Amino acid sequence: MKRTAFIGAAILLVFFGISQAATLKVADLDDELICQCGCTMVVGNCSCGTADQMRAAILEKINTGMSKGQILSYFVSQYGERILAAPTKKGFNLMAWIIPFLAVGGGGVVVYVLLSGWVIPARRREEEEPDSTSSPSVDRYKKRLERELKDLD
Amino acid sequence: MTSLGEFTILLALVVAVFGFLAPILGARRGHQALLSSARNSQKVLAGLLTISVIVLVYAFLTDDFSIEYVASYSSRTTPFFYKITAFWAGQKGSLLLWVWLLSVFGYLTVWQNRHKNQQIMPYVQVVINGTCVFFLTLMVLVTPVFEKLVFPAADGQGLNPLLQNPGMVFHPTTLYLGFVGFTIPFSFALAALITGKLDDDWLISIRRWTIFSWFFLLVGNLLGAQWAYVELGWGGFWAWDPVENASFMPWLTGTAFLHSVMIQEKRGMLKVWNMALIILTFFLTIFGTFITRSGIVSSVHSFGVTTLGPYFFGFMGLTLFVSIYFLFIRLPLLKSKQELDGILSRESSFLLNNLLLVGIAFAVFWGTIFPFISEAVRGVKITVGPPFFNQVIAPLGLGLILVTGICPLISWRRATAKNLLINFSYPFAGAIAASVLFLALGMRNGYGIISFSLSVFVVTTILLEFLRGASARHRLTGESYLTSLFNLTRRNKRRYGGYIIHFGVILMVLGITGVMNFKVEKEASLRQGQTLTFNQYTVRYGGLTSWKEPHRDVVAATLNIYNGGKRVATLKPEKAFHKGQDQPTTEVAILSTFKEDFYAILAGWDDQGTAQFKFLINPLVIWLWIGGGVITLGAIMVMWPDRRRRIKEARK
Repeated sequence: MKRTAFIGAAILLVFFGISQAATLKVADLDDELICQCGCTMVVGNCSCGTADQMRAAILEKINTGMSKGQILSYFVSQYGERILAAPTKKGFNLMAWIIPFLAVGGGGVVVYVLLSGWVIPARRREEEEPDSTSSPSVDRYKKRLERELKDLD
Repeated sequence: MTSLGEFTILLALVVAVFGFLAPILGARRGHQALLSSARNSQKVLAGLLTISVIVLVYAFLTDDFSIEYVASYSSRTTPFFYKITAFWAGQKGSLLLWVWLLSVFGYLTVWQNRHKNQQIMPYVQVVINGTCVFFLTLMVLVTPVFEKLVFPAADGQGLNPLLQNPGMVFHPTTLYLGFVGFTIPFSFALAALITGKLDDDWLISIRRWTIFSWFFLLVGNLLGAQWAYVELGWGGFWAWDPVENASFMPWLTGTAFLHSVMIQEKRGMLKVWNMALIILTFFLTIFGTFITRSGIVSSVHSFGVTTLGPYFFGFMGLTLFVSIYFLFIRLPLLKSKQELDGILSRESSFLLNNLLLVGIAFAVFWGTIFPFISEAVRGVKITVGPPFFNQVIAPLGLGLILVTGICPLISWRRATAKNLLINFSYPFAGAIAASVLFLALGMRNGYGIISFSLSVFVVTTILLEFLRGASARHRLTGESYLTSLFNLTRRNKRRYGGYIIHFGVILMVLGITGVMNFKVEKEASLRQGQTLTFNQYTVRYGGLTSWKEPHRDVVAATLNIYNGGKRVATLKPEKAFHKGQDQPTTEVAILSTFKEDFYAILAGWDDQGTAQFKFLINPLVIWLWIGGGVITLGAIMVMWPDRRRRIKEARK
């Protein structure tokens, strides 16, 4: 039983390893690394000699069975974090990713609070002056105003 | 001639200083002669700088390599056409282009307002001329464009080959028209704050200038994208480069301003917010100029390491300080009655639109400056590139598309359930049907499905709006449907022009979505006569040819492209070796259809006759450019003078 499980696990491991090596392509990585020729473009977009060398290095690492994360780590160890086309999603760099959404979310809350504040007085006025808003002349005026606002649009 | 150029710039600085001081003194003392003289100085300033421009272009055309700038950006073999465009290829010339455009805009503004806005116009001039003084001071003291070489060069270094593309003629100029154009709305806003004359007159006066600047900023960005697509040879059009970001941000805040200003016009609300938006937009135009010229970022578009950074930084600080100071002291005058009948209203949807636009601008700004923050805090240099921007901007962008559909159709003050049902049931049903159809067709890309479905939603809202308007007019007037549609659009140019702009934006979204989510690529080495199958295309490599031109040597590959067994095109991707340049440039070849672009890049070759290629299939990309054309149509319609409004203004 144990032997069968071992063989099964080994098959799975080999299959997983092979399938990963088989599916991982240079194109999966070259848009995540910045070319070091000084062009500031990702490797996938640059056609210079440096980009060719970097693509060759990626292919070599893929062929040795390295995973995507391992290959990226290799390049970071060689060139530093700036070789990555985007900040990592951990530690201080996480700020880069979450601040824009926090800002928009916070802005959304502010907008909602503001709008709510603007709505209440209008309702209160309706309650306080029911006669003035329900008279036929005011209704006519309101309709006309709505129409003009729409025409002016 | 060179001395004339130097002299006119120096004199322009003196005139700009006069144009800055005289309106202040004239307005404070009620000195009409001084004010009149200040108005005339605007004409003189534009005239002097026009002479400077002519002198510089003449120097390029006559190969005057005694001028350092001409020697750096032109050569005897530079084609005539590009000798003219070399004028703005470098930092010095681009500063002259900036200040020249501003002087011309300043003159036009003074002329347009010769009979109106008399109270704020002196201060409008102060802001315009203050900006001119800044740029001219740089040109006189730091980067003189007519600086002479000690020993005149026999020949110049020539223009960067990448800039020798028709797109480079129009991209910088249109971008500058947008950048510089936003100075005018900002001048009116600040002048209104300074004088305390904060009624809606200033808003009405800047309406066309705002749409003009917004439009040219968009066109500038689009032409830049088109240039990158055909000239840089990597198959994309937007790389989220810091300089690209710098021109995108003011466009976003400008778009927010164009929308929120409608609420002020119709409801008298959001006065402080609108002031803040136009100040922010102007600030971002200067920030863009700072990014390009400070040398703080590495970019294919920047002018390298220069000494201008601190000056721009100081000017940005001063602009912000003065603007915020006057905004603060005028807060009591900017208070308005903020009332809504319900949360669900057009006002709310406009605010949501503003939130998303400013949110996207902030995300772009944050991504652009985060490398500096990282370096300052952690001491580690990092890169914030396309993967970051694509992942952060995409969800916000999708939200914006949805709001684009909702905004124009929701009622002012309060949307009732009936209103929502009437306006949105068909578009919503259309979007759902589209999602199901895309899924049934085998599409599994989440962003793609959402983006296309939202596009269907927006287009349906626009079509319905045209149909309802035309039907109502047909019922009222008895005109044919087509005549009704034409007259409806003609009589409500701003509204229906806006819808056309929205439609153009959606076409652009289709192009962007297609390339971002469904692009496929293939690299191949082919021997002469060998064929390759790539999706539905068969490519047959016919060999290399080469030839010499006065300024470059060219090697081109011949590729016959077959689709369904039928030859559809012969493409000739090239590599060009320009004189005096180390690296060859790539000239891609594109077979463009409404469905997709077949994009061929010649990567290299060897002595055995084998050539290396990279092929891409970029779906729907043509709609990005068509969308730009549709937006142009809509913008022209919005800017077109309104006879009825003119009559109304004249009566006033």
